[in-house]
Amino acid sequence: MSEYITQQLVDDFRRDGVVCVRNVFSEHWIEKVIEGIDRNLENPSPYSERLANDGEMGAFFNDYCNSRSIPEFQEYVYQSPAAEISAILMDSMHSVFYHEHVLIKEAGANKLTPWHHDQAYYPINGFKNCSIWMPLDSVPIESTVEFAAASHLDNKWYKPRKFATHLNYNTHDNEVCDTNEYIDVPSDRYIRENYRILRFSVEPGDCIVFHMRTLHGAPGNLSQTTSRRVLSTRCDLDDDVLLIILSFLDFVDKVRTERVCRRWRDLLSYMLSLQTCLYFSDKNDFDVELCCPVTEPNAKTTEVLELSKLITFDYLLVLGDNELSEWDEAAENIMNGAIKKCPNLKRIGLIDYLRLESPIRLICDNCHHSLEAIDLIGFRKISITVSDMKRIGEKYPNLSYIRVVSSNLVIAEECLKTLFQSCQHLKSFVVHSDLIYPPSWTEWGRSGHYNRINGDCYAYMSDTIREIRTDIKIMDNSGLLSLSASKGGPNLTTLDLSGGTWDGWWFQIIAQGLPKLQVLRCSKVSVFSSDDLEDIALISELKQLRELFLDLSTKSLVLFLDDVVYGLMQGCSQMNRFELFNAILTD
Amino acid sequence: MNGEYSLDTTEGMAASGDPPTNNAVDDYDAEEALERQREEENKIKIKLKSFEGGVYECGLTAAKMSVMVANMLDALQETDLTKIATREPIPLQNDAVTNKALEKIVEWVDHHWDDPPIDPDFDDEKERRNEELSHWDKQFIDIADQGELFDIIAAANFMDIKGLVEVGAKHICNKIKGKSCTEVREMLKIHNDFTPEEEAAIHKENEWIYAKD
Repeated sequence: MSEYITQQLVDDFRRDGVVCVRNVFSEHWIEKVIEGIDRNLENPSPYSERLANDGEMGAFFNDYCNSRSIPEFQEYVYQSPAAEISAILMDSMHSVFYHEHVLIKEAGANKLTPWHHDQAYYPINGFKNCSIWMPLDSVPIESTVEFAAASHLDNKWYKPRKFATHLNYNTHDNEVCDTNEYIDVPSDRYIRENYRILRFSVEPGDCIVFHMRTLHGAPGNLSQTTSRRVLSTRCDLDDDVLLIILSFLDFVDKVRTERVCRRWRDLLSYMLSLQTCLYFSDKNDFDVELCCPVTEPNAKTTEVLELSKLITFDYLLVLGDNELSEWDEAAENIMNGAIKKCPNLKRIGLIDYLRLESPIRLICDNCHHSLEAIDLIGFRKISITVSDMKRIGEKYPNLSYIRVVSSNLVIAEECLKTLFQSCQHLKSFVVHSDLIYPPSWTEWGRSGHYNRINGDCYAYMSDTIREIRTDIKIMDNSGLLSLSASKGGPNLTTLDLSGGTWDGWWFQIIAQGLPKLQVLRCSKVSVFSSDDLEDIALISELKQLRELFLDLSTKSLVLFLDDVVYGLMQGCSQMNRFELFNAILTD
Repeated sequence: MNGEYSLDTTEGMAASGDPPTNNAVDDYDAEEALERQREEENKIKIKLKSFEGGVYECGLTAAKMSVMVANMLDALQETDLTKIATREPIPLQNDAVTNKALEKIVEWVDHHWDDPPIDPDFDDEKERRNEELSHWDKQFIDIADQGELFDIIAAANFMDIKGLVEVGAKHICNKIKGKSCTEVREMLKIHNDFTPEEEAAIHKENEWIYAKD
């Protein structure tokens, strides 16, 4: 830090986009600049402008880009503390001078300077920049420049306006030089209502430093005696060129050289953020639109890429670029890094990584122990080995769900057993694949839904399965659906639905898909309505309906129960056992 | 036109193995004609003026490698190209365009003027990025004075000469490759503005990049 600038000022500048630095320019510099301005007034350049309202005494004079012809300005630019102040506040090693700008409001000049930000007026890109506003006369608080605090962080570009008429410059006919979208400067009222307005009364020797995207404006000079003379100088860093140069580093070097200095780190992390497509979401939900693609450089995504924020995410969906002809090592590295930084991750989905062959290994290497669900979708080829499954079991004791959708799957026969043995909480293992190797799997079919039943056993359902065990336990609707769609399903005689979670329409699935069902257990199944019971009557072969728990707290159901049971008995003519567990039935 | 190039046309057809349709003949002729035109145009010399005032002469086709210069010339809407040669030198208003930088830039474009122009429809940027520098480019860009090197790159960027910016960028990145951060700082005279704690924190954050298994 220098003698003029404290860390507090640097932080303020970053946050508000404007700071007032007191007592930095000595008498020497003030006199120098005054001499320069007098010289400027004598020989105004063709750029100069003199504005006054009709009938008003004062004028508003402004001129710029004279630092080469006015030696006093040149001295000020290169030798005064201005350069150092701007570099420190911009957090940069170097500052590059752009131009000086003389603004004079003569006594009584009542010209307002409309709200605007400077950068839109200039062919300047990049965020590390500032203007230094150095007054040469005291400026009382009533007539000093006003700033909309933190408006530089809005990531908005406002159309430049003419100071004389307050109208926008005509930018339509000009060739557009950048891709920024320019919008109208908001109204004075809007700015005052939505931003903290900062103003500083300043004395000669002080200066106000502001970011070139900070909105600011000035009221007219009400004081009738002193003119207000100000020299404003602008600094900008040529980040564009450095960005191009650094873009030629390979991925590892980009990450490695982040430590060189702050400017490099900023540029490199910006670049890295553009390189891959990661979707993050804190919603446990597959709606991709809710997620946030890092490829769009908006404020939210840069925040996300500050990676420290990832700690809060419990769901990470990583979308590969399926147009990439080969798996990009860089993308893999970024992904690994990002995943490692999500310690609370519960669910991970890798989608459309056509070339990645061992996603399980990638996940085991990077995901923390909290993981509960894994989704692998859109792979060209996946190999799953027994040791992969063992690792998953060891590392993720809470895993309850795995889904693999791949056009080509190599999976060892023992995998399934290992998986269910090592992951005690695993409820479902779902596979969809066009080709499964080795061939013994092929017999089982292209897609399967494996569910845990009673401890270590598992049930397998697919479209080609011939025989099915009689004591199948299913936990949710999708399991039920794949069961009823399987070839063995129609022959199933015993089904246990205990403790599963169900949506209302599940009895219809059973009635249509499992017509030969004879024994149905449904303890701890709480979602029931009279409609459900009517649907049960459709299972014509049903002999035993056991442990049925009816929540009969609603009177209507009690009233209808007789009818329902009668209907049930009518529909299921073979019914010989009907266990109904319910305390309230005594009513 | 067709008569003049008939021999070339048949050769071209045989080599590419395409059926000799009229379209293909036209394409081939057009290409040939364009090349000739580029060659002719490069004989016309135009003058470029550096920010410091030095004036340098350069072939028209070569100068047009700078998209900025090409756009300026287009804006003149001059049909008689020979008149361009007698015009005032084109001023390059950016302080990176020093005399030395412009001299080197002219040397580079004069050597590269007959490179195939970058086709925006066929974006082979990824390939170009991985391409090694040619021997000539390596010698050209190996400049001891860093300020001068940076001026050239910045000036080439200002003049929008993509190829030269890439040469400069690749050269610097080749030098960065495999160097430690301290060495990079020394080489490029960068001041380390991190506190040791901050630096350690970034290192830790990026540790995964070094882990290879």
